[in-house]
Amino acid sequence: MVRFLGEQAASKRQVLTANSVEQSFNGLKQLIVSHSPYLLAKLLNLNYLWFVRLSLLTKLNLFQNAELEIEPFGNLDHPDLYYEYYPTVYPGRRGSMVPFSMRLLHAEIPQYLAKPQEALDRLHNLKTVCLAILENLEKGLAEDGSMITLAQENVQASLQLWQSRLSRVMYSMANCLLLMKVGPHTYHSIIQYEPHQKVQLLSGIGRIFLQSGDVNMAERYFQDVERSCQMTGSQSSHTTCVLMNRAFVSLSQNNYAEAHASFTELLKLDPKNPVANNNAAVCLLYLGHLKESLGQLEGLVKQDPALYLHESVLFNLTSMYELESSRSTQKKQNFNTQCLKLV
Amino acid sequence: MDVNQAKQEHLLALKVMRLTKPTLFTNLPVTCEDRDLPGDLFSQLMREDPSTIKGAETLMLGEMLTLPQNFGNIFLGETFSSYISVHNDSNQVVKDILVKADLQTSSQRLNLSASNSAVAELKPECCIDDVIHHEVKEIGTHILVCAVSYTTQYGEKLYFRKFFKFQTDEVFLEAQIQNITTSPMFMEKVSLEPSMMYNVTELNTVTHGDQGESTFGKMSYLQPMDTRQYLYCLKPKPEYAEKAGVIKGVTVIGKLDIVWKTNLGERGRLQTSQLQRMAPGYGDIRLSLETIPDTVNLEEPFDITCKITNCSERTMDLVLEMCNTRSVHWCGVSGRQLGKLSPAAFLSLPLTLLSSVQGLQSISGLRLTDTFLKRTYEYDDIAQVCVVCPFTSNEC
Repeated sequence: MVRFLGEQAASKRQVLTANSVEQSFNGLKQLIVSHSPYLLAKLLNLNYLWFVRLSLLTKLNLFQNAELEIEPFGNLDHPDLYYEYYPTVYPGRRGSMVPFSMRLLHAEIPQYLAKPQEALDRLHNLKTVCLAILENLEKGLAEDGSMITLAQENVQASLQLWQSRLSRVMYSMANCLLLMKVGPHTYHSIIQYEPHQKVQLLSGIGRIFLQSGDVNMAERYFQDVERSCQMTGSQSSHTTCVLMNRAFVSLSQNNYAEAHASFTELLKLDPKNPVANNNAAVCLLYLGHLKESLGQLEGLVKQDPALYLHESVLFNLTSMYELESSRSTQKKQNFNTQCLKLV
Repeated sequence: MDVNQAKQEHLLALKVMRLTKPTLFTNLPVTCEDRDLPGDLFSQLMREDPSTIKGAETLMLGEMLTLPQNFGNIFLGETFSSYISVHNDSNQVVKDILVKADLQTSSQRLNLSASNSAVAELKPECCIDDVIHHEVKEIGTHILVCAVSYTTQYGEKLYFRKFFKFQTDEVFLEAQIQNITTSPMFMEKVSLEPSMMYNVTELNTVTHGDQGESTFGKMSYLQPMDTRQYLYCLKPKPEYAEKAGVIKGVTVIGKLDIVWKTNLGERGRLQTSQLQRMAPGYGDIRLSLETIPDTVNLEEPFDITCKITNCSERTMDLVLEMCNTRSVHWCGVSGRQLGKLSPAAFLSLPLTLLSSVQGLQSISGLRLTDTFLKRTYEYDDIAQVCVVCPFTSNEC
C-alpha cells in the first residue's frame, strides 16, 4: 500500500494540477545537470513517458509489443521504482514512482492476449488496495493506516481520488468479465460508486443480455432505465437512452421498421447523434433499401468526416459498396483517398 | 463461394449478402489521470470518439451497429436471411427484369423470392432489392440459386445465374424428459420404437463386457423437477437405403415409449405419436466408411474401406483424386478411373493412408469427379482416427 502513496504524498505538498508534472520535470532537470544520463533515462522513461508509450501501443492494438515492453518492469514493485531509492534527487519523498494509470494498464493487458484470468487477478489486487485505502481514510487515518492527522480538504481530495480509482478498476474488471463472456453483474456493483452513471450502466447491462439472446432480461433492465429516467426528471440525454434501448429490443425481435422509427425519433431530439445516424442506416439495409442506406451513410461521412471516420462506420460503408455493384472497388478507392487525406 | 456461369459481360450485376444480425461495436478504453503526462488528452479522445457511451466512456460495449463480417455458420433450425441486389452497371435502360431466388437442397427446390413479377425497367445506376428468409429444416448442402433475366434496349434477351452454396450441421435426436410430479420416480424404460424404415441405436447405455450400465450411473431415480436427456442415433435400414439410394423427404422415425414407476411400483406409461423428421440429404454421391481402425500408429500406413453410392438418377463415370493434407498422406495412385456407376449402385473402395501428426486426426482430401457432367464432389472430414506413437514417450 505504501507504494501507492508516493504520488499522493507528493501531491499533498502541491495542488492537484499540472503543476505536479512541472515539479517533476524540474527535478529531472536537476538530474540532467548532476547525475548520469543513464539514471536520467531510467527515471524519465519510467514515470510518464513509458506510460504514454504503453497506452499508445494498447490503443493501436499492438498488445504483444506492449506486453514485451512492460515485462522488464515485473510487477511494478522493484525497489528502483520507488522514490526512496533516489534520496538525493527526491529527498524525503516516499512511495512508488509508477503512475496508477500504468498499474491499471499493466493489469489489463493480459486480457487482450487471451489471458483474462491473469488480468482479473491483477485487477482484483488493485481493487483490494483501493478498498483498504478508502477504509483507512473513512476511519480518519492516513491512506497507509498511520495515525497522521490530515487537513479536511486533503481528506476529501484523497477520498475522491481513490473513489474514482476504485470505479475505474471495477470498470476494468467488468470489461474483462465481459470478454470472458461471464456475465454483466459486475457493472451493477459500480452503480453504488457512480450513481450518476446509473442509466448508462443499466442500459449497458441490457445490451449485454441482448448479445447473448436473453431478450426478457434485457427488457427488464431497460424498464429499470425508464423508471430511473422518470425519477430524475426528463433530461434529453435520458430520453435518448430510452429510445436507443427500445430500438435494440425491436432489432432483437426482428422488427427493423420499429427499430428504424426509434432511431429516427432519437434523431429529432439529437440530429447529430452519430450512433443513431449509423444505426438508422443499418436498419434501412435490413429493410431492403440499400441505395437509401448507402446515400445516408455517405452523406454523413462527407458532411462531418471528423466525427464519422470511425472503424465501424467505414466498415459498414465498404460492405454496402461491395453489395451495391461490381464496380465497388472504384468507389472504395475514391473514398479511401479522401479518408487518407484526413487521417 | 459463388460460381459464375456465363463468361459474357452482363449489363446487370447480382450481389448477395447474408444478413445475420448486426453486432455491437466494442471499445478498448485507455485512460489516464489528469496528473499523468497526457493529462486530459485521453479522456478528451474518448469523449470525442463517436462510439463510446457518453458519460460512461469506459464502458466497453457500445451502441454502434456493425454489419456482419463474413458468412458465418448456419445450424439446423436457424433462419437463413439474405440481401439480394441486382444493380444496373451499364449506361443503358434495361427492361423486363425478372429476379428469381430458389433454394436447392438434396430433396427439394423452394422458391424464396418475395415477388414473382418482372420489373418493367431499370435505369442505369439503379437497383432491384429483395430480402429473402428461409428456415433451415434439412441438414446437408443448400444452394441458393439466383437467376436474372432481362431485355436490353436493343431487344436482346439475356439471362444469367449465380450459385451460392452453404452447408448445415448434423444433429442427433435428443429427448428431454422431466419429472413434473412431486415424488421421485424410477425410469424403467425410455425407448424409441423405430418405424419400419429405420434402425435406432440408443446411446444411453455404456457396455462393460456383458453388462450394460446406464449413462446416468447410479442415479436410478429422477427427483421431482429433474430432467434427463436421452440420445438416439438414426440409421436408415439397408433395404430402404439401397432401393432409393437414400431416404428422401419427410419420413416417420418412430415413437417414444416411456414407462416409469413411483411409490411401491405405481406404474405410469406414455407414448408419443409418430415422430416425423426431414431425413438428411446426401447429395448426388454418398461417401461413407465401411471399415476404419480406431487407433493407428504414427507414420504407419493403414487401410480403410469407403463405400461410394450413386444417389442420383443418372449413370456416373467417376474419377478418384486423393489430396494430401497437413496430417494425412494418401498412398496409391491419384486420378484413377473407378468406372461407371449406375443409379442406386455402389462400389467398395479400399484405400491406404498414413498420418504424420499425432492425436485425433481428421481424414480429408478425397475428390470424386463425374466425367459426364464434369462435376467434382469434395469429401473432407470423412472420419477421425486416433494417431499414437508406438514407441515410448522418450523416443517420440
